[in-house]
Amino acid sequence: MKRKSLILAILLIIFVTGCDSYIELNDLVIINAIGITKTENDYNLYLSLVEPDENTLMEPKTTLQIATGSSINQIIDNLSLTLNKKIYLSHLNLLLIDDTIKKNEWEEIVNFFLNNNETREDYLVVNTNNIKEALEKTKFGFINELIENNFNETSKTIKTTMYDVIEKIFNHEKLYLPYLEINDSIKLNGLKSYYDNNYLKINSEDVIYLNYYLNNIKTYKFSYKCLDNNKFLYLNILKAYTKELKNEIVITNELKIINNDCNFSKSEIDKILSDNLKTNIKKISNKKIKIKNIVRGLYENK
Amino acid sequence: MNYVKKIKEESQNADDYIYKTIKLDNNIIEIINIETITSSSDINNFILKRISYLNTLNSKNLLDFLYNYLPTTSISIIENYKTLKQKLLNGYTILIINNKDILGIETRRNLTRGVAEAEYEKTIVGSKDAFIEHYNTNLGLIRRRIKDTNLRLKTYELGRYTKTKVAILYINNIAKPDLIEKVNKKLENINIDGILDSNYLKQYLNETNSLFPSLKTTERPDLACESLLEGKIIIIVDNSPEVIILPTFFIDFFHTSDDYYQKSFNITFIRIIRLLAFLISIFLPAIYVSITTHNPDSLPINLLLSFKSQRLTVPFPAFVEAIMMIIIFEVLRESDIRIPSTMGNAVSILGGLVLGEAAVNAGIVSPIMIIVIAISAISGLLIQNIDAINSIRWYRFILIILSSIFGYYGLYLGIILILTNLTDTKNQEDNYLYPFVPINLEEQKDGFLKITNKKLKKRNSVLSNNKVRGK
Repeated sequence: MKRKSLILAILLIIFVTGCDSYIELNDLVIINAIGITKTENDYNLYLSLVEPDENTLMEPKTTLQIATGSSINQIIDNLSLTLNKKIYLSHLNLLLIDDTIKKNEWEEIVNFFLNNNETREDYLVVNTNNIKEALEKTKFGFINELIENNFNETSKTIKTTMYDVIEKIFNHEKLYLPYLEINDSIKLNGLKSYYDNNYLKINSEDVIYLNYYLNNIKTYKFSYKCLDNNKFLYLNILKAYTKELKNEIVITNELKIINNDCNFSKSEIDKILSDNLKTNIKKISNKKIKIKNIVRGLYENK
Repeated sequence: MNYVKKIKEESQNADDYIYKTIKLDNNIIEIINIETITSSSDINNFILKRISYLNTLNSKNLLDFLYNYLPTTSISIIENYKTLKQKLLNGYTILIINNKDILGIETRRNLTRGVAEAEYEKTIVGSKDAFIEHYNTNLGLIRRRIKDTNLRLKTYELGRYTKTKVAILYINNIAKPDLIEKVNKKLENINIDGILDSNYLKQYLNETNSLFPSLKTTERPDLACESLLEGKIIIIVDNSPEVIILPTFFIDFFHTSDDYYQKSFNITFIRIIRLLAFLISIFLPAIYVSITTHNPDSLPINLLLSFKSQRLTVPFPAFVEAIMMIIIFEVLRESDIRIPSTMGNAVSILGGLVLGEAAVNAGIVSPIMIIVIAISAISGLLIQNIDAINSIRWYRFILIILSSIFGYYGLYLGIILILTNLTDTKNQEDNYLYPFVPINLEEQKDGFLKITNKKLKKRNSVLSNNKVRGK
């Protein structure tokens, strides 16, 4: 009995624990970003390969590898054979897609990544109008930092990970993806929402109200132009919480008054901010909206 | 029986056996000593010179006369040939009077060095003296510190040929009697050719199959005395500069004698550092091998790229590289121990600096591997006990092999094996991991943490029935 248990334990260790996963670092091709587009029957894969720079203090250098095939798996396998190295997706931190990715393509992408045990589904998914340039023109990690900073500082974008994508695709819910616009410059320009096999553009300003609705607001600056002159009211929204109840949406703002050249009273400021939010959030939801504003700093509520 | 004739026969007329016959009146006194282990000046001053002062020797009881006449307290009347031989071989000068009565006078030559500074167990504060190869000196160093009649001594003569003097020391009203009895029985049952050092006894007293040492030796009298006051037993072996402390627990290897001479919060900090260093020493090379061979996903991408760039030119797999570096380090360490100290610096420079630098430049090993092995090796040296350092080496090897085959799973498997082994280990019927397994909160005050000596009011309950300190 003891011997059988020992043999079973050894076999389990060998076959279950992945002892066949031995790989040398030099045999890996580390991928940090993938772009996927679809043309007729083929998928086009844009792989950003990261290689260590000789001077390790410098940023790693990336090279773009483009490959085409009938499925993502096939492209990766072929590429692995061509490069004679293992395509290593564990450090993938960005997936770029464009409007050619629809229902079937999403299923193919989701299947590929769910079946790949190296990736962690925590990388960002971004929609762009030009994947090749997005990967060629940007430095290593630039797009991720751009989204992270915009999300944290302005709330004018959204952070969508592969995990969110899988959840939305399976549940047939509306999927929001940050939109990276490549023209003369590279900039985040609102979102693309995917639903029912269609992509719709959402403007940057509207993303703030969407983030309110989704309880995603980190911080942002609210400005209001006074009616009688060129003066402005500037508010810094430090925190915002949204609670969606059965019949109403309750929003709590913690804010700081940065500039009040218009000499509004606190109740006027409260009304301006609340009206603005109510008007815009009404476009997303029909529920009754209740807003509570808490002022911090010099004008703090007593 | 003609004693002189018999000794000559048995010693095959060895060159260093000195025989001298003195005739006084009708008496014949035969003097025998072994030149190489006796002090000729002592023989001259206390025996020959004194006898030469006598003009006549007409006492009826010559044995009693000489016993009282010779100016030494280390004199004994020998009853039989066996004792005669034993005394002779222990540096005594034998006086055979008329081939009938025998006297033995201790004239042992001082073949030992003086009390010197501790060589391996260095401390910043506290006493500097260390045990030497002389039994009486070592005993004296302990007696000088513990001046109480409860300090008891049991002596043995062990070794078929070496007849080495061995003693167990304990404080009668602190140490547990059953432990003393157990050690006593073990020593009485030892039957070997010779005991040349205290480390010979370790194998006979050891009760565990663990790679970690179950006995601790020390060259510091203050640590030996601390152990005695704690209820432990000390074994002194003649010709050995180290005494054995038993029982020893895992935690004891993280304690040093000067832990009790400094502020408690400093000691708590340094003990935690020792524990960290111990863990780093065992696990760091295995973690590195796991990461580079199975689990590169556990590293942030920048660090992974740094590792990758450093391994670009290395022709060996990470596992081979790690084993190679550890072996090179062990070779350097061994050569550093064996070669004369005058050549030590040259070897260190050649081995450590030149070879290391050249190996990296030649692309044989990666700089990160040198860093990993160096940190691991240096961390292992924070523990002063050589047996503990050697056990760390074995566990390091085992974990590297498991990690290279199974990655992190192998590492976890190794950790489970080590913990199972340690928790399963019993030392003189106590758990080796005590006071952690089973947990004893009172003992945590002097475990990896340390509170002030003032507040350490109780002794270790597994070591002593006399639990309150100061009684």
